[in-house]
Amino acid sequence: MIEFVDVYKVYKGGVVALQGASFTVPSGTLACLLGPNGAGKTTTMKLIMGFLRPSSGTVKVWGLEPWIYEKEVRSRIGFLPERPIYPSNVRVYTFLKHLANLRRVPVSDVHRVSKLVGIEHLLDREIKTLSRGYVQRVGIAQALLGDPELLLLDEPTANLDPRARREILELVKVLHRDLGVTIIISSHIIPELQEVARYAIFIDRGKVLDHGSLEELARKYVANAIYVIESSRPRDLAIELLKKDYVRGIYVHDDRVEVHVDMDRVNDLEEYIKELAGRGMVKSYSFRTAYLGEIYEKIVGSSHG
Amino acid sequence: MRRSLDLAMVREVLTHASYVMDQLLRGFVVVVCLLAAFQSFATIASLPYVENLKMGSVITFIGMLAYVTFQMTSLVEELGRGEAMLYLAHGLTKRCYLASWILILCVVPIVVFVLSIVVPIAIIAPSLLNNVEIPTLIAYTVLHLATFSSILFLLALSKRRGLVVALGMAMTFLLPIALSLATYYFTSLAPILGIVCPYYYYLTYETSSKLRICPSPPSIGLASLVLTMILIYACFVKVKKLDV
Ligand SMILES: Nc1ncnc2c1ncn2[C@@H]1O[C@H](COP(=O)(O)OP(=O)(O)OP(=O)(O)O)[C@@H](O)[C@H]1O
Ligand SMILES: [Mg+2]
Repeated sequence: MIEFVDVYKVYKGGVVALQGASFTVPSGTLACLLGPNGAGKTTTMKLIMGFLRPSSGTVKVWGLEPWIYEKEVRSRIGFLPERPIYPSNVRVYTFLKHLANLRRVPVSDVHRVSKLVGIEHLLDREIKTLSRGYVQRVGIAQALLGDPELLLLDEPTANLDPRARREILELVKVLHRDLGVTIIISSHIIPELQEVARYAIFIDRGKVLDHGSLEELARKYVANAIYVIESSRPRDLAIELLKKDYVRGIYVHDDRVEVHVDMDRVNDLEEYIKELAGRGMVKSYSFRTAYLGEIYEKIVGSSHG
Repeated sequence: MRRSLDLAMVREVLTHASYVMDQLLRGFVVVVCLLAAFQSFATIASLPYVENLKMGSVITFIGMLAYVTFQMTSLVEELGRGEAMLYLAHGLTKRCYLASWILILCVVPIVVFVLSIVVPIAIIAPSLLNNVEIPTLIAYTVLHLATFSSILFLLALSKRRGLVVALGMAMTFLLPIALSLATYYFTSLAPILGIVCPYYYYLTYETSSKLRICPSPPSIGLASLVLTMILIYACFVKVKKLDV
């Protein structure tokens, strides 16, 4: 759905923000765009919106070049800018209503999105009187106007308190799961992306270091997969599991067993867990996916090494 | 991708222009109306002498130019901050975005200024409207405002705030002085300056015999019309290429 082929972006003044970036993002995924400060994440998002023209290479969104088909492409995208660039002495309602007008969606949509992000009680306030966190919510509200097929969120949880962070991430998950919206999030906070992302693009100093679904990337960069199994007989379970050659390590915490397994043998393990479950040794099990940070360290860390 | 001006685009431009005027440039609306009120009094006071009207209008006219310059900086700021992105993100094309600013900072001041001359005359002494000098006066002021703002628009799109202010102020306050100096000391320079200030040139030409050897105001007016059209075209080309 989104395709970058050998994209360069040189800003006026000679800053090279992207140098030969190539990646794709399939439709329907929830992707995160990860990289240190100045890596080119915001530039990438602006290229997808067609706000910038690639210096060379091609950017395609739904097969169209956003720089040329600005209207066609943008009418299907919701965009949350990185910085709070909202007009300050405009009322929230007036602002959102105007954007809804431009987008040609009914004004009732303003109320829908305000409710969704929890700003319906602030519609009469001028934007400059809102706290940063609420300004950020206004930003998210405008990105949701008109039910876009693709959401580009440039650091959506910046300036939010922990609770608001959770709420917004929950909202992102719901939009993705229930409405099938494709979402790209850029952020520095890896643990919180861990919970929502299914796909990742790693970028550093203008180069895309790698990209792909988390499963693919994990297989490539993470030696061990981790399963957490709940059992009423954790010790017996551990002994059973140790018999398998693909099990790399076992840790027992109370009634939970943490199993480390070769990444390419996860299917074998899953089968075996199911068999054990049939014998009543397993109450439940889950795949611990917390390795986004590990992948990040391997990919981005090594490039700095 | 050239598309003819269709109704959807007109709607887009009007929607955005009225939003900007309502919300961001409330001060602009107030000042323009005050200037118009002032000009209406000046028009009434100078009737029925068209000569007085021609000279008397200069004061409001300068006020209008200075104020357009001042407000042009809000466009530069909006572009610099990236606020324009928000509107573009919701489907406003760059072309329509520029067009709505042109509507606000060029068309509206022109219309208001013209009305503040025409309406009082139409009420008090309608027969004067048949006097050829009034439409002539209006034509030069309109051209002057259009040339002036199209130069500033081109600078504003380069996000050069300082240059917009400096050149805007210079063209408002220094150009009339430069023109009269040129008239006396470098007469051949006067028509060149006149192209960017056709109204001032027209007034100077009427009052100074030194300019009799120079091109007449209508030919200078034509030149500035051509210049304005080129500048506006350049603005639309530039906005299309703009990285926002
Ligand atoms: N308008 C601009 N003009 C010149 N250089 C720019 C411009 N915008 C960004 N850059 C430069 O391009 C590079 C990439 O910037 P970008 O904003 O895309 O990074 P980022 O990954 O979003 O960083 P951050 O995590 O800090 O938001 C940086 O070196 C930045 O200084
Ligand atoms: Mg950024």
